[in-house]
Amino acid sequence: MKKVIFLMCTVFAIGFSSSSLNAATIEAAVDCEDVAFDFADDVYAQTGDGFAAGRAFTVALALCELGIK
Amino acid sequence: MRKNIFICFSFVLFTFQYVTAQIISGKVWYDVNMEDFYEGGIKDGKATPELKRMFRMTADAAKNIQLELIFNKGQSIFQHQKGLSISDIDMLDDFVKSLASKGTYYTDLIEGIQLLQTSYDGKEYSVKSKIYKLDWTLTKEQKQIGRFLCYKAVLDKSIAGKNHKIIAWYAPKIPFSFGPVDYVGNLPGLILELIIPGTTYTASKIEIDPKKEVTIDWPKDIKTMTEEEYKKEGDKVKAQLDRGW
Repeated sequence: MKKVIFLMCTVFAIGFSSSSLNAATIEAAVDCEDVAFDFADDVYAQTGDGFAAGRAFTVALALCELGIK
Repeated sequence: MRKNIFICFSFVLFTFQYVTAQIISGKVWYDVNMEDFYEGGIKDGKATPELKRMFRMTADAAKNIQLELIFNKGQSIFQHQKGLSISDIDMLDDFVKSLASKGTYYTDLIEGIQLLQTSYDGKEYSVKSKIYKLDWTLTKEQKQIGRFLCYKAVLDKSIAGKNHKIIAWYAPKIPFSFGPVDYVGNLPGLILELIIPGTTYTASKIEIDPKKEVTIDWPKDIKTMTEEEYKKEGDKVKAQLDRGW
């Protein structure tokens, strides 16, 4: 019985740590500066306006860092 | 026979004069659609979920924008409806509003000039520019917007090094060359729908005043800059971005 409980705990622990590791990996993969630069470039491509690109960078960086979804 | 032709001609002339003379001033409200801005941002299939979210938030907030064009026979003002909040996030509000209209546009068709009052990073700009004749192609294609029959006009324009088609639907029955943002002074009627890259402006309410002429309060005693000077300032911001901010 003890062996079964030990095995179940081990499986649960491995599963739990693996899922938190995945979550952490996904979180770490988001580079807000990259997102902001990409957004600013796209805004510039559509508007041809440097000010609009600057505003786009600032707002995208802030929203990404705040984690607003 | 000659008498009949004369009567018919007089009637047509009188009717035309009556219809055009009816309009002294008016106000048009425009809704904004930025779904094309979203589509344009994600079309290459490389956009990350975060980037897609930015485009989605922008297009969603734009649905709540309302812009107004107030005009008399010679002048107009085009601006955001005052005090209108379009999202729960202030900084997103300001950004999306500035995409739809950089600021307040004053137009004087008699003098052939336009004045844009805008701001960036706490600095105010008053940009004075001449209204240039553009090479619009007027087509026979027509559609109804509100109670006005509109005709389609097309303009080829280069934006950020790429060619784009600008489409305007103008109403000859409102014989004033005004429209959203800086699309003024060229077409033989007021623009009730304008499609530029990423953004569509569509008139949602049109009020024509046959009696009272509105006064446009043109800003006085202000220091203005040219369009070229303003563009150079914008290019500096883009250069800063290209250097990695």
